[in-house]
Amino acid sequence: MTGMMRALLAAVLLTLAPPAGAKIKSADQMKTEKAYLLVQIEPVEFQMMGNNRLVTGVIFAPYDPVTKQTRENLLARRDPVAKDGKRRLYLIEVDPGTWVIAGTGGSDSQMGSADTSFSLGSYHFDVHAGELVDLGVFVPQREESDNPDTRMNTDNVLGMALFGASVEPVPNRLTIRPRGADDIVIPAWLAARPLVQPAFVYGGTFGNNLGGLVNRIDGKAGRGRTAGAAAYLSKPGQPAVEVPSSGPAMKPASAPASAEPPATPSSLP
Amino acid sequence: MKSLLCIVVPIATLASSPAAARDYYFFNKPGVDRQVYLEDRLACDALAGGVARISPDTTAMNQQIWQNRNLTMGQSAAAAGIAGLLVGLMAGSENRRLQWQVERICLADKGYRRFEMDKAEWKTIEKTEDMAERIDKWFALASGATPQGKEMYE
Repeated sequence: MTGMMRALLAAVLLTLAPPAGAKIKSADQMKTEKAYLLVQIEPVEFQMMGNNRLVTGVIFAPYDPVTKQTRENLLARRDPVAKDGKRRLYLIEVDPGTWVIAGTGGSDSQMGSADTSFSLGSYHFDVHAGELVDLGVFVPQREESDNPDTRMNTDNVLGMALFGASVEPVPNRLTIRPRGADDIVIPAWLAARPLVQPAFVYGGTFGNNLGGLVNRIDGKAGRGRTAGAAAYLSKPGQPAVEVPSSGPAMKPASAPASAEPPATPSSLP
Repeated sequence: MKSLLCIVVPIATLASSPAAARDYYFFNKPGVDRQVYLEDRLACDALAGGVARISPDTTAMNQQIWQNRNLTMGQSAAAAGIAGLLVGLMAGSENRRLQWQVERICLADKGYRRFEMDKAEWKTIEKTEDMAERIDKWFALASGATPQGKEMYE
């Protein structure tokens, strides 16, 4: 990047003068007119000369299911309320309303799989003032491809280093599962409050506002899945419940619209 | 080994600036309705048009923006977008590769497969001045029951 570009960027950043977002450290700081999302985010794992785990953020956005429009994004990436290695537990203050899981971003990765907008189909959910909504555990994963240029193997990486070749990025997908006994312990001051289980509604589509790759939240496996199906996160030890709605089917892709994947017993695909 | 990766990969990524090598192909979904085909192409073009800020430079820069504790999330998003616009001016070929990739993912999601075609044939269609006629040619390839050419990965 040229010096002029850097100077322009610096000017942009200075113009956006910054009050720092405050980390919530106690129940006293939680406001009754706001809602709060509690979400654990696992690192993205990939194999390249061993197992690698990269901290990745997840992006939420206010969403209008009728107009399919999102508004200003929020990124869960900084200031976790608890962490365990590269696993993070976030508490995010939001306005009441409908929110969509908009994508992944803010990764430590240079590999190009970090910025993915779930524009092709994601979950949205409603939150109400005063609620502490337990979104469960988010597990972002690389959506591997049969394109040999995307493989994170030694040949491709050495090719990058020695010959200026490139490893083509792949998008992420994201699985959601209920919190379990092995997950990060919720801080006591937060655990004392009642947790609300959200109803995730599948099929929210929207523009590529993140500027990177796109995918469905459930990746290729979700192609042809019915829009409008509501999925409820189960509590640990209880099965998830997925209730197909009478809403319009998403356009069939590789599978016919009627071939909806079965509900999974313990997680959302 | 991981420390080696931390050094090699960012350097290699920043050092490489591959040209956007163009593949020649068409998308096919046997029997697709013409209007559906046009809507699918427009929808995927719109998503591809959102590509603006991923490049080796912006990947590293986005980290700095997103992890800047002096910015709120909204400000980080705005800064990343503006930064992407600036860098996008310089990273055209990299963005074009990502735009093609977004188009491929989006159309695959809608049930299209991709097939190689002859470069001369591709150029002949693209040089067709009459837009309706050009669309007719692409649509004929898109809706054909038995697409010719080697199938390509998504």
